[in-house]
Amino acid sequence: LIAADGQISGNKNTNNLLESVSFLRGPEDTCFEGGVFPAILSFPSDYPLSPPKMKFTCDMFHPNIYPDGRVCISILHAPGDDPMGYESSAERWSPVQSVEKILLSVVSMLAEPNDESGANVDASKMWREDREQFYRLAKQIVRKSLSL
Amino acid sequence: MDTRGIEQMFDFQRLPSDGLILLLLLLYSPVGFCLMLLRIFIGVHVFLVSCALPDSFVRRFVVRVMCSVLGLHIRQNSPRLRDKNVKLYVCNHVTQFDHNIINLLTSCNTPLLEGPSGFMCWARGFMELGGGVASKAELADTLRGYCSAPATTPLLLFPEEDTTNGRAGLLRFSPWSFSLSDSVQPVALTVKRPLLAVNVPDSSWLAELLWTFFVPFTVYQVRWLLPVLRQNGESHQELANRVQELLATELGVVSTQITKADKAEHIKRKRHIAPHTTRSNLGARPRTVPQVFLGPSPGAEDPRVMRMVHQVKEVLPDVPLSVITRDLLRTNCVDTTITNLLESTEQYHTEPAEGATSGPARPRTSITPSIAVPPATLKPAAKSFGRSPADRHMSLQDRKTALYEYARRRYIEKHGLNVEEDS
Repeated sequence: LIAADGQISGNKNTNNLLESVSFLRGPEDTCFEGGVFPAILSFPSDYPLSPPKMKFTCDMFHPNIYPDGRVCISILHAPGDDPMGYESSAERWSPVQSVEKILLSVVSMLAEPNDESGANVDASKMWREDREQFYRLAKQIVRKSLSL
Repeated sequence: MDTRGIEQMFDFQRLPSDGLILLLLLLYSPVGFCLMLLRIFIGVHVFLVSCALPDSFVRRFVVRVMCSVLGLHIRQNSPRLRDKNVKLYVCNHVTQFDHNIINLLTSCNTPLLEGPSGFMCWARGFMELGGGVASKAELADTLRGYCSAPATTPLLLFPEEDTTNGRAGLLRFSPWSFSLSDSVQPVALTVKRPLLAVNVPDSSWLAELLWTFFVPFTVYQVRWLLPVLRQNGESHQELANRVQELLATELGVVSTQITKADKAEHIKRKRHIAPHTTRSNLGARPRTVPQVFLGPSPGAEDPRVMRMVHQVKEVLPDVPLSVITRDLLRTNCVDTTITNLLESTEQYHTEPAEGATSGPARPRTSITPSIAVPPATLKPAAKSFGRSPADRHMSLQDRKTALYEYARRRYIEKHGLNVEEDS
């Protein structure tokens, strides 16, 4: 069970050790501030040789998160596959990475979207062109995540 | 502040602390051992006699006289106050033989709440409940049936469920005992004995019996109080609190909110630091259990507050009940209290491990809130890795709830939202 910078994570249920639920808090002083976002980390059977997959289970609107919640971040990509084609292998998955590090990376990704590798094209576009609108949407998502 | 803490409610050392009394005890001990051997043989006879004679005035008289040979002197005052119609006596619990003593004054039955039924249960004078009584609810049902049946001997219960030394405070009365009957007769029991403590936690009844034989005498003073009737619309808990208050006044002690579980917890904690602890630093060392426990804290009896306290306790199992109660009485809101407790840097989580390694010598500075603690450590993290998967899952659930509560609170504060409006 990990507690890293306000994130908590634990086994989702007792019979599936390969899936873990994490709760990420939106980083301070960003548009996602205050939110609590649940995400499932699924570990492949050959973990830690292969990276786990991360998927948000709540609504997210973010340039690096697919509309279905999957997270697109370099630390979760093995050095071989590169869907976008411009990630340096230094920041890729390696067996020495830890869940804590993944969560930290995802939190920093929430703080600073990388609009070059857009997983959600709409969000990337909005992030580039209409920052105000993006902030408004983010705020709604934060509220929704807290069910307020 | 009330200086009488949980420490004062139990005698943890059987031997006295006073040097003079210790010397006297040393001189007495050869006599005591002889007396003990003699009394073991007489005790067997007492047991056989009490088995042979039918339960009647004659048996009670004979056994009572024989018991005074064993060093058990029983006194009672105002036996006329004993109400024949009352089906339920409640008594404070001092030693493991309380029920035998009361039984010598009037015939009554006490169910054994813990431990297997069988020969030992019967021999110690407990009532045997037919079949395996699994849960407390089931037990209460059985006893309620027993109480409502006509022409049965009254039931004697110890709602404290555990022993105290009877000098400082009463443990919290459990409400289920009061669900059995609408009228209860409180019985105040004081036990006095020279040289030694009357009861120490964690000793078996056999050891207690031998110590009873060892000391010259033990005086049991039984006082019957007027029966208490349930008032209209009074809940079990309210009745329990009222009777507890009555008994406490009669005994000249305070009624506390400490439960049997708190006592067990304290003993456990004590055991961890015991090797380092000497009597002399008991006063100097800051107690791990806050003293707020004691004393009738205003409103603590209020069932609504109790319920809220339990809600908070579910989320933050590490925080002592007293701290929660204190905060709740101030805030009167579960959410606010959780936030306060999460945000406060008070470190009441004195884990046993810490106590064991650091010992009492190290001054605990943790009572003073330190600003230096980074906010990250405030987050509800598991204090230990649960043994079973279910435990771990529960821990996750609790921490998750706490995290959400905290985040929600922060958000509302920050944005000045009105919850009712938005939810």
